[in-house]
Amino acid sequence: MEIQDLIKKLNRAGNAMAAGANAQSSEAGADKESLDAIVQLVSFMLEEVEYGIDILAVHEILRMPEITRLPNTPLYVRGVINLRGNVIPVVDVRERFGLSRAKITDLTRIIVVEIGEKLVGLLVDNVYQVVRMPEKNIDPPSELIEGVSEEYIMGIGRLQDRLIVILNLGNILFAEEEVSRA
Amino acid sequence: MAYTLGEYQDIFLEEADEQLQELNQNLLQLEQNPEEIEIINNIFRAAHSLKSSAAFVGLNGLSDLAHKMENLLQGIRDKTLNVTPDIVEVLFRCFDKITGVITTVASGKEPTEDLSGIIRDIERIGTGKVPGKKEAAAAPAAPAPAFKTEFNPEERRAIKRGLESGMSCCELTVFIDRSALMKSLKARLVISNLEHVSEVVKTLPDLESLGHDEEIDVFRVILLSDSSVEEIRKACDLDQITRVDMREISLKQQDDKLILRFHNTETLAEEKEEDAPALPGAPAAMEDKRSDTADAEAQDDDEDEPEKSADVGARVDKRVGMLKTVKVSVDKLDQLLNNVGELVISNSGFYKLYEELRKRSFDKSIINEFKNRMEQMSRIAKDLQSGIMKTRMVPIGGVFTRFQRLVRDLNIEFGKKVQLKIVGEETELDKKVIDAIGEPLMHLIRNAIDHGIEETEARKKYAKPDVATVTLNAYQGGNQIFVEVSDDGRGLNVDEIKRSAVKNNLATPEMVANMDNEDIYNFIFNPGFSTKQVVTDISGRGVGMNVVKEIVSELNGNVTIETEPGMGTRFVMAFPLTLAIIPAIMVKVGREMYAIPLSDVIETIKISTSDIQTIEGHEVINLRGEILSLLRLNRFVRAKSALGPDQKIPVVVVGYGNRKIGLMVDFLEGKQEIVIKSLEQNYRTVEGLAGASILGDGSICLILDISSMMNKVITEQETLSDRDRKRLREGDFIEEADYEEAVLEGPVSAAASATGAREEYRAMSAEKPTVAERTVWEKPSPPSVERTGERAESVKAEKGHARPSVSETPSVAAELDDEEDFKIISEDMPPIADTETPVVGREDEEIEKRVKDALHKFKDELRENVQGAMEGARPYDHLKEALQMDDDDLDGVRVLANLGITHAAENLSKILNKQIDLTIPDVRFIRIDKIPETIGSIDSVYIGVYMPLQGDINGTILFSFIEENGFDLIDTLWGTETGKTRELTEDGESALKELGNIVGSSVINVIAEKINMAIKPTVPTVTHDYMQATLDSILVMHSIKNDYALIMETDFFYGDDRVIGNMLVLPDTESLKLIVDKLKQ
Repeated sequence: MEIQDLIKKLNRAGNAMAAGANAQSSEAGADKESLDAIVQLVSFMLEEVEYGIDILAVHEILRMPEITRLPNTPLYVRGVINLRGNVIPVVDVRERFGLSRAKITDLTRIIVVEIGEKLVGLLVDNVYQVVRMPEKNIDPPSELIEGVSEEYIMGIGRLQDRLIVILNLGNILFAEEEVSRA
Repeated sequence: MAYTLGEYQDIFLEEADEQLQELNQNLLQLEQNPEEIEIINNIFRAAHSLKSSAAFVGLNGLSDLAHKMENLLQGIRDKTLNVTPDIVEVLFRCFDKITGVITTVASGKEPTEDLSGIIRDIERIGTGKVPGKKEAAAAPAAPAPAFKTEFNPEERRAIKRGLESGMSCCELTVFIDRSALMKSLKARLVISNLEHVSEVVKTLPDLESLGHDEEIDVFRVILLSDSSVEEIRKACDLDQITRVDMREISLKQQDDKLILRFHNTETLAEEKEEDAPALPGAPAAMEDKRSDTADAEAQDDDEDEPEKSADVGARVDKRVGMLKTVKVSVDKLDQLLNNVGELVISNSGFYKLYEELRKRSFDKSIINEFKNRMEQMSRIAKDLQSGIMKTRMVPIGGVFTRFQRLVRDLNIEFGKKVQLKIVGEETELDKKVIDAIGEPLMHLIRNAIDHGIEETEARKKYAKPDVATVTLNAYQGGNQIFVEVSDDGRGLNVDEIKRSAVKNNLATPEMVANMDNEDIYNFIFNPGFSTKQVVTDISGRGVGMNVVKEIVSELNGNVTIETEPGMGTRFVMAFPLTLAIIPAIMVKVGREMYAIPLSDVIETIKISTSDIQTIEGHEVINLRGEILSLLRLNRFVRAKSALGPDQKIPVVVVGYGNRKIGLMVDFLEGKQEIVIKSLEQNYRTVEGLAGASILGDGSICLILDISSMMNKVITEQETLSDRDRKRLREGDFIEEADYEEAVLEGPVSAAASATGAREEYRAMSAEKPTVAERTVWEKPSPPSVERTGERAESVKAEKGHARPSVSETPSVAAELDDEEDFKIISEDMPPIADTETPVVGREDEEIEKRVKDALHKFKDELRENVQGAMEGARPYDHLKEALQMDDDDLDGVRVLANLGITHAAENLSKILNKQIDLTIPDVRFIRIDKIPETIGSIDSVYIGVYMPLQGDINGTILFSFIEENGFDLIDTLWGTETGKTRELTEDGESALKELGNIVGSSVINVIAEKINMAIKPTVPTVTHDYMQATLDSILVMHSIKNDYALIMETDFFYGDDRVIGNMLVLPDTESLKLIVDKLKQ
């Protein structure tokens, strides 16, 4: 009887230990995952600089549709487009960053992003690619990016020898509109 | 009066219907699978909610029946009863009975069904317990409290307030150990603990009896709290508290009513008693039972064979007049309406296609078939549209009744006696209007009571009823819905408004002097406008009326004021039937299309450049003697005009409030129905734009916001000095230059035209920048014909191999704009003539005509609607009411007038020695300003003889004839040849005076005799003028103040049908009242 009890106890202890180990390992796994969390970015090139937008914010990517100009709005607001019955504004990213306007080419795209509840189109020269990047590779915007003020930047991502400027979409349409009007 | 359960009736009927359907459905299933616990649970739930809702609306009999049903079902659930055909039978009969009651209620009758029979049946059958299990069905550990949770209105309000401020409301049922001593102390302890963490709204039984009654071992607390459940539980955690149940209570918005909804019970704390028998499945049942409101009645133990029900067939559904509804969120409806709007609009694209097909003369039969299909589709789309629109309509009654309370409170505050009269509560309005209309109504009612209604003493003086009336009325007229707030107070004081307007710098004294009353009344809508010296709590700050105007405008409506000194004021808000789709005039500037809501458009005209004059730097034109400010739409939207200097410029005259402005556009494109889409949804409000619309071809067109445009223009004009203005114009110039860069260089709109022609498109965009740069940067400081010409050439040359048709227009337009800018800045320069003008291949005339037609039609409709609504029977009713006259009284007046005028005709016949016929006097109330158009032609000159009345009655009698008839009459009187008299001589006048005297006196004498009053006409006066002027002089000379007059109008004829003239009797309001009183005697 005693032996049997002992065995039972041992078994129980063993089970408990195993469970503990399991728990630990799963915790460790979670940690590792968060370190290795992958961010997917839609990237585009402007004047030799690569910019990225979190793919979760991207609604769709359009070829150049007809744009209706919106009077009495800042110059970087190119106008509005009809996205299946929705009227959405289009921001010229170049203009927003203080760069000169570029010509519309075959590669020109509008990246429709969701900012809060709103849909906004970003007019870009091209859509470069979709980049997968570990989250840990993203640094806060400490380095100075030429031409682009810090308020539009959420961080800088490093991918081997590439630097990708990750955009802060919140400010791209709505912050300090009046400034660029002047 | 139909029987009703009060405001929750509809909801109750709707819910009960659903529940009954569920019950029937489930019971049928149960019959098949008697063991299926899930079905029993379903039935149980439905019966339970039916019971609660029946109790809620006061159908206690029904609630009791449902309760018995529930007991029976509980037996089944607890397995103390088996599902037998008898039970099922009884349950079905129950459902039929309930259906009967509900049908009775729905048809507006009081339910009188006797439910006791069926209740007895249930009780009888409920005792048929499964042998051997009887013990298991022991009484629950704690009986349910024998009281019902009911709230009085004050508690309801408290709960509502609490819930609205974010607290949660719940009902705690606290069970105290039966064996505990000093139960009342425990109860009070719990309550005082609860008071620390929450606001106790109510206890059941009330605190008083809780404090004294030692036998209470279960009590309920209704509390409002923002503490967590855990905190509440702790507060109740005392020794010998065996159990705490909690039910959440929430507010439920149903249509316009708020109801309190009880949620399911959950047990917070339960002290486990070792010796209590654990009943599997029982706790749940107990909980439900405890959460009930009714008493736990022990079931009878009488063993009786359950009665075989005779009316088995009666359980066939026979609901009559039951509401069958589905609740749909407004968002979904909006979406649907939007889509249908799109459908209607894209459908209009087919018409274009049809025209095109016809021109190209395809097979006739195919074209006809196409047309048929197209029309059919358009009909369906329209039907769909109006159908969906109707689903958005909600009766306004709910909003109206809310104000009963406000009026009551205001009565107390101001010590006035005002009753609120509600008319037309069944009128349906768009949900959006319903949601927004509360605020304007509130302001209008407050204003009416604070400013409009006199003090009781003052009302006595004017012999008005002590209790003043504020009336809310809603009705439909044509395409519009009118909502009005009227009072029988003192009316607006024009002089006071004028004074305040001048004081508040809204107008100069000169301006005010020249304005008509309507415009002056509109001053009260200005922000900050108040005539009150004292700002009271509720009004006088001058905010309210402005809010009214703004909200109403936001809903595409407008508000008009009708007032009558001493009689009252009426604010009429007119809303379009639907908000989502509006008719608009489409205009083009450059290549951009804009829509101007038709409701803002007054007219469209065409002007040439030479018509434009400049006053203080503003461009204006003289429009039929009126100075109309012009605004170049292309400058406002910063685009280039496509018009050449010699081309006539279409101008859309738009109005907002009492201001008008002419919008210079390039082309008129016709009228279109458009669906409004907000820009705010994805962007923000843009100055000057009311929104956007998607056209048939998928392109976006922007809708102009006339009010904000005008405000902007007016502010600019008013606040800037001349110098600033100049600078602004130069600023504009520069900005426009910037803009050109934007447009020219960006092939934004060109891109669309180029779709499908990628090659060309690329070539073109590659080409473009160079041109753009030149256009922008080479902008000549003083532009010369030579240079512009050259540039146009070069542009063309460069474009030649790309797509000239696409890129040519903007460039040329740019030239023109340069020229135009230049012209505006140095106004004296002659226009440059020979710039190349773009070829515009369109039938301008036709479009213009169409726009004009549409506009006329719209205006006519609008006028009709407004008139029909405001000037038809309404003032009549208004006055009738004020005079407390009914139709019989009016008939009395009519008889009187008839007698008098017949008498007059007899006399006239004697004098003229001719047969005189006369029409039956038309007795009615009309507005004085409408008299001229009512009794004759506005453009004719009349000769009138009028006599003021003296004695007990004040007023005037007017005998009038068209000029020629007057001359003929003079000829007849003097016996001269007909046609001799061609001007009014002194002799002629005296003859007419004599005639007037005789005829007038005969009328008055008869009337005086009949009503036994001393009235006599005074010396007659002859006027020779337009009817309006004649009436004006009568009103002014005799200071008759009423806006409405009783007219007794009769046409006199010679035997040969020639009209001699007509007679008006205009007693003043007070006298009219006297006449009526006399007649009543």
